Amino acid sequence: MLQAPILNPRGCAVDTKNGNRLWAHAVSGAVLTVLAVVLWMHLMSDPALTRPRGRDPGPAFQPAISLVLMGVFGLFLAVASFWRMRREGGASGEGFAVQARAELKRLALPAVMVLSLVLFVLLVPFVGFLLASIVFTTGWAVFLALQDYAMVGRRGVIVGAIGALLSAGFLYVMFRLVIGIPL
Amino acid sequence: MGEFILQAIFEVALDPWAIALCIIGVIIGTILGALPGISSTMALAVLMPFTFGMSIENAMVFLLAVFASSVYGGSISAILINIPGTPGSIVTQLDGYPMARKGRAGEALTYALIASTVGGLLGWIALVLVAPLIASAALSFQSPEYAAITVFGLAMLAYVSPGSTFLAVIAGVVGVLIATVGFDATTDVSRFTFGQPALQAGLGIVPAAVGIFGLAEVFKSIESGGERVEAVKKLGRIFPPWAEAKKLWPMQLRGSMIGAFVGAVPAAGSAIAVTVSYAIEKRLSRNPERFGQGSPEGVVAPESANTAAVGGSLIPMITLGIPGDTMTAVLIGALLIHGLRPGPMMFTQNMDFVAAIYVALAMAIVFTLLVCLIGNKYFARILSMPRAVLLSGVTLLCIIGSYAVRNSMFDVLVMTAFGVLGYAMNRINIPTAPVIFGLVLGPILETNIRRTMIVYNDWGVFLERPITLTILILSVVAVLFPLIQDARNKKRQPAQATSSAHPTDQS
Repeated sequence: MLQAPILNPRGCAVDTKNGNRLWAHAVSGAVLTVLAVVLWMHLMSDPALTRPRGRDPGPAFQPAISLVLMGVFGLFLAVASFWRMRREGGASGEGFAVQARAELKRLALPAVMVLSLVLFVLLVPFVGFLLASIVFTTGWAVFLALQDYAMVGRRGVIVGAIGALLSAGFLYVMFRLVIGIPL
Repeated sequence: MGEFILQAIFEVALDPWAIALCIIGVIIGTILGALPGISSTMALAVLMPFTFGMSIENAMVFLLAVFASSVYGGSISAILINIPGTPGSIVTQLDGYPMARKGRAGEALTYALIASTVGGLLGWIALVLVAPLIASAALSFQSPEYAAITVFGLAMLAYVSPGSTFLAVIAGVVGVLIATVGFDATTDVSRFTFGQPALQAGLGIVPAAVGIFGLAEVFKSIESGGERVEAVKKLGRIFPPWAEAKKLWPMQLRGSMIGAFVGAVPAAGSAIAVTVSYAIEKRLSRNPERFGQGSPEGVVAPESANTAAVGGSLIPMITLGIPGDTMTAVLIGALLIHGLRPGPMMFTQNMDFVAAIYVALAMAIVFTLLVCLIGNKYFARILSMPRAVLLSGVTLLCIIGSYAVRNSMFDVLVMTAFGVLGYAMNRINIPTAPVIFGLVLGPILETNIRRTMIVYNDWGVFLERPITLTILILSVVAVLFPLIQDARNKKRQPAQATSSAHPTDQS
């Protein structure tokens, strides 16, 4: 659906998708900067890492350099992105809110998969790897087939479930019995 | 060298189990390469755990078979459904799909296969001839040169990464930082473990690679429902007319040379090789207007470059220990799991293994030709594999693969975390490959910098040694050049709201 263009204070049409990207970069830069500071403090507080070792720069050397670079670049990224957002005015208004809601909607399923993976790790000690794998793969296969129901129909859901079951069993047999990984 | 190759032929090429592994690897690699959404890198990352129980030679046979065949496999979907299966096939679709629409799908697939074979063999020749030369030069390198080379590898990846060079540099720095988690190899002091025993061994390359290249793509695929694809179902005649085919040899040879050369540049990768090859052929052609309309030249040139880049990318990997592209970064991870660190020392201490790599790659190329000549029409049907089965199976493979390295569920959580990181980075246009490069190259960089200081006790040594200084200058140029060029280009454009110079803009 076409929407009226969002105009910045100078009257130029603004790319709200770009505005969201700038927001994301600004936040990423800020996160990197904060992380760099926190990790730097942790690094410097450990005497085992920072004590002089003669010619050897020591175990704190590479982390320190990396943290400095990460902090500086992160700060630059955050400031540059914020500055550009203010100039272009692309990160505010109705268009931005619509884009942000659409983005959150897209993130829902990946977030659910992350949770299911954590659940998988927690369940394995109780139910065993094979059962956990079957539940995980079959559950997701059925869900994804239902997502595509208009295209694949009921047959697709059944095929998906059976296919997932077989692939879980096949992979378990391959790794457990053939390769010898203690699953 | 010849005796080692002969020995490898007897021990690898004539070993029934190795042959079976090669054929299995070719079949799986072709299928995975043909499926949109599964790149060659992802295929290697999720299949690498299958090799844990194998000998290192058989592991290379299997992985190189997957590597070479998945590179060709991408052209199947590029030709039949106009969606590149792998990044290296992005150009093949320009002429391959129009050919298929004209009823010449079978011929297009065969052209792509033959070109891929020619490119693969010429890339192999480049590998066999050039690698020993580079290795012998690299044997005279000392720790300052190795440190500079790792910096160059990271810089080159920042240069060639799609999108912003600045963001790629940040990603590389993050990768180098992540690589410091765990015990320091020199002093045995733990870093960034926060009292967690599980972190003392560090964050492995395998869970990281599987997460970033595998799970992140799964996340991207499940965001929304699948899309219906219109595939060209009838392949028509399989073998093209000889009169037309024999005119295409010069394009294949040129494409192969370009692919081998570009592939040998650290971090360059096949996507650049195919683009350059296509552009050159179009420029040299007497009928450039035919390109994009179903011209066989537009298929054979990029395909030969694509597979030639496989051999090319192995050159920096085995001679310097630097990934030639993301796929060889995963291969380095596989070698490390098997206790082998690639580099020039392999040419003195493990020459038999180097020869095994040569033979394994040759096998992969030959068997890809044989298997796909017979199986192309069957592989084409794979494109209709249910998305639900594929994605759930790949996810399980990611879980098992990351668990199998150290038999630790913690690594599954690490894989998940890297999957989230890779997905988030993809969403906001930050390249992910530099993170893995940083993980691979970071420890090498640190070891060599510290060794340099212990031996020379002078930071100036990095500027006093000519090779080191040259490599560092090239590294700085590789990072700064695109940034400066991008800023200049933006200044020339009319001032608009969305076109101001910004370090995150695409160059």
